[in-house]
Order: sequence, then C-alpha cells, then structure tokens
Amino acid sequence: MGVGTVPEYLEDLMRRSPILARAAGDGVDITLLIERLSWTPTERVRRLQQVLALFIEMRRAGQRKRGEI
Amino acid sequence: MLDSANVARFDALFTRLAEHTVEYVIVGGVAATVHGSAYATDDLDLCYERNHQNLSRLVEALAPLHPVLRGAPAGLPFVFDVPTLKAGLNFTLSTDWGDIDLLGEVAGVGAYGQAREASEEFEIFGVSCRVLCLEALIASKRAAGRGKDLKALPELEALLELHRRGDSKQ
Repeated sequence: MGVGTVPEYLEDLMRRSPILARAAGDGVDITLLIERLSWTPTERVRRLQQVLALFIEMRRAGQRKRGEI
Repeated sequence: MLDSANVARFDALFTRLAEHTVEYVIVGGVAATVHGSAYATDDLDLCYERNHQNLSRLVEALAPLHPVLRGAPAGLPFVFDVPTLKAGLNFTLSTDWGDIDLLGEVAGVGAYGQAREASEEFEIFGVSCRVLCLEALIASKRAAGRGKDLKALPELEALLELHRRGDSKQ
C-alpha cells in the first residue's frame, strides 16, 4: 500500500502504533509532533519563545482594548 | 503573569548559566519542548545542584536579572542570595528574562543527582544543556499528578513512541 500522502502516512502510523492512535484520540495532533521532530532542539525552543512573545502581544492588545493600559 | 518586561529569553538564560558553570537539569515544559512537545509553557523549570559552590554560581548568574518571588505581595522582602537558597528548596521566580522555577527536587525523579542521571545532553542555542529524558519527564508528570501534568501525558507518550521509531532529528 502506498503512503504517499500525509493522511495515508498518518493512517498507516496509527494502525501500527496503538500509543499514537490513543494519543490522537486524546486530542494530540500527531502532525505537529512530526513537524517538531524534524526541527533541531534549538529550533523547537526558538519557536516556543516566538509563541510566548505572541501571547504577550495578544494579552496586551486585550488590555489596551479594555483600557487597562 | 508575562508582560513585555519579562519576555522569556531562553537563549540568553542558557548562555548566562553556562558562563557561570551552573549545574542544573532542564525539566518541566521546556524539557518537553526540547523533546518535541507542541504545548507552550511560559516558565523555565530547572532542577539545580544544592552544594554551596553551585548555589554561589546560581546567585552570580541570576541576581543581576532581579529575581523576585512570583506572585508575592509587593514589598515583601526577598534577597536572592546563598543563605536564602539554602533555607528553601523550590523557588518560583520572576526575572528580567522571564519566569524561572528553581527546583531542589522533581516529583517522581528526585534531587539533582537523580535528575542528572536521568538526563540527556542537548546543544541549544550553541550551549550544552542537560535535559530530563522523556521517560523521566513522563514519570515526573505521573508523580506530580495534577490536572495539567496528566493532560500532558498522551503527548509525551506519543513523543516517546516517535523517538523510539527514530522520527526525531536529535
């Protein structure tokens, strides 16, 4: 069976791994994990820093909207 | 709470801790990130060696970042020095470079010695860092047993499975 597309690859992965299938059932996005595992550890931490900076900006936007700052 | 004054600067923190040869193991959410987790965490949890020499190094490294106890009432006296660290075990700090939790012990793992044994070396931002291994991270989440810890388990177990299958870059 070919596994040329992402959905087919994922389906194949789930079939062969009850752990991954259970995690996906619990709401874990396996595609995000596969993507991150293709990055270096530094790239993973750098992305976390970027996400936190975005959270701060969004929080401040809400505070500005409510006239809190 | 995070604000623009204390954006997490993990790159600068790791460099600073290395410059001061502080002995620590990265645990918690940032350790999960290093292993590939997609969940965001806003503090850096470090399990630290509690001998006198390392406490001195830790103070030298972090004191210039103006650490204060997170969530403590304004004006509560807090001096970040060796006697203070010796008198306590776990400290939740806000610093100029983000929130840092200093943990003398990690649930399900133990103190620094055990955490180090259960850690792996990673190069992050060009700095060599010890990071709690996935198996120990899972054990610590199980032992901590809070809702947020248990919620993290399915993802960590999936990551362990993917690592075992050889799907990780490190």
